[in-house]
Order: sequence, then C-alpha cells, then structure tokens
Amino acid sequence: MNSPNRFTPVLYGTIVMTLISVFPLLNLINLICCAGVIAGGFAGVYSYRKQLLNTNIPLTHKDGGMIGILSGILAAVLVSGFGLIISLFSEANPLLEVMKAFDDLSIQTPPEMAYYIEKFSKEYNEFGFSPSITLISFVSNIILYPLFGAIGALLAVSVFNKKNAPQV
Amino acid sequence: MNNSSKIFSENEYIDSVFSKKIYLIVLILSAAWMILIFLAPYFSTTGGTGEKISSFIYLFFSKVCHQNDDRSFHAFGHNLGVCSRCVWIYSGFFAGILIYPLIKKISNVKIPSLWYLIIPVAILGADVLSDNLGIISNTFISRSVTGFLIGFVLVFFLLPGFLKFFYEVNLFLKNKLSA
Repeated sequence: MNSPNRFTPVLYGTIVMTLISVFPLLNLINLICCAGVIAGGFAGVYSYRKQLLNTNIPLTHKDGGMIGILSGILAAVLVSGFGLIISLFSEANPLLEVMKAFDDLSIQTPPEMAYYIEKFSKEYNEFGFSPSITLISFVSNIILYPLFGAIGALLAVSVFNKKNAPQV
Repeated sequence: MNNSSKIFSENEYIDSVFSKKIYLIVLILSAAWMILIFLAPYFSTTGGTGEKISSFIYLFFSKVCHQNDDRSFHAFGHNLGVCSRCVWIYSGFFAGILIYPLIKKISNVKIPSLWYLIIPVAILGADVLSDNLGIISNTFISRSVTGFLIGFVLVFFLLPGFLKFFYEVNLFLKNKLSA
C-alpha cells in the first residue's frame, strides 16, 4: 500500500493561508479570529483525507494536527517575507497614509499611538521598511499561524471522522 | 489499524492522568490569553516599558481582530486587546474549559453531534451578515451572545481534538524511542 503524501496537504494549507493573508480585502477574513488561517488548516486536512479515501489508513489527529502546524509555520514565514518585500519595493510610507486616513476621517489618535506611528514612520524613511514592525509581525505570525492552523486542522479531523463514524 | 485508532473506535477514552495534564495546559493557556486581552489597556496607562508591552499586545491581537473602538469594551480608559465579539468568544472558550469536567469526563474524547457546532456558527454568521447587508444592525448584546455561544461549544470539539493529538504524538514518540 502506498503511504500517503503528507507534503501536498501541507502545501495546500500553506497556499490557502498565505493567499487569504496577503490579498487586500480577502485578508479581512483573518480579523474574525484568524478564520483564514483556520480555513487553511481545514483545507490541508481535506486534501489529506481525499488521499486516504481509497486506503485503509485512518485519518488521525496526529497527522491532521501536524499538517495544520506545519502549514502555519510555512505560511507565517511566507506572509512575513511577503510583507517585507512589499515594504522594500514600495515607495510609499504606509504609516503616513494611515495618519492621513485618520485625519480624513477626523479620528483622534491617542498620544501613545501617535508616538509609535511617528517612531515607525521614521524607520520607514530611514531603511525603506520598519525593522520593529517586521520583527513584531513575524513573532506574532509564528505564534498565531501554527496555533490557529492546528485548530482548523483538528476541527477538520473531528468533523470528517464524525461524518464517517458508523451511526448507532 | 494502528494502536491509537483502535483505542478511540472501541471506547473513546484515553489515559486519565495524561488527559488531565493536557487539560491543565489548555486551561492555563486559555487563561493567559484572556489575561493578555485585559493587560493591553492596563499597561498603556503605566507608561515606560509597560506602554511598549501594551503596544506589542495590541499589535499581536491586531492579527486576529479589527480592534474597532466603537465595537470594543473599554477598561482603564482604553479599548481591550480585541473587540467585544472576540472577548466573548474567548470568554466562552475559557468558561467552557472551566466547566468541561463537570459536564463530561476529561478522558472521554468522544465529540458531540456536529449540529452543536453548526447551529451557533449559523447564528453568528446570520448576525454578521444581517449587519453587513444593512438588514438589522447588530448590538453589543447580539455580538456578545453569539460570540460566547460559539466559544463555549468549540471547547467540546477542540479539547477532545487536542487530547487525541497529544496522545497520538506521545504514543508515536514512545514507539519511535523504543524501536
């Protein structure tokens, strides 16, 4: 019996998480408790389950969870890298645009927030990107993506195994 | 069929001591997550290093929540780390984890009917969609109730999932080391 390929499901999961996270508007999905990342974990397990359909190999939580975690780690690296590349190749300082948007909408920014926007804006002007934001973003991503990826994947295993369980 | 799947299909129970350890870890992490949400506004009032920690916490949670001021609860003069709906989702999850042992045995990894998950998801989806389409504006109460409900029921699907995951990983590593 051929052992299932675990790389393809990880790749599927990574692609779904990355695409949802980097596309404007689509990335708003992640503002609902990282729903895009959860969907990526779910998609990875769905792809793995399709491979197992014609075999006697059961869909285990170990395999599902690992697919979610690995997809999350890969997506976190890709999304952070993509953000850095966009910053480096973009002429615009996004923080100045944020401040302009706040002014246009007459939103009063708290003094501490204004301080950090100015601080990070200086980094953008100096280096072409903000090392502080890049680092904080990477640390956040490397914690959140595997966590929510695993949640999506484990949820998928529970759902698929429940659907396949014999009804008593 | 491997060892772990045999155990689950026959009686849906795993080792009691092991499951209690995993339960405690999930409980501590869930409590820490809740504390972080409340620490964000607190630290922003302390100034100095506290303020830096606060901005890191806000940036961290900005990945998972819109943090819209109008849709957030406030403490210490600032909005919490996440919006009102998210606060209630995580509160529901934490409450679910707390009372889980009173409802079923921790070592019992059998999950309930999928309808217990589908119905709260549908209610939450209806609350979000009706607001976005301008049919009915949702309120703090509707966001709180739907958020709490989904967080609470998720525990009964996720905790057995976490227990099975760590149990199977543990079994796999033991087999690898003894081989």
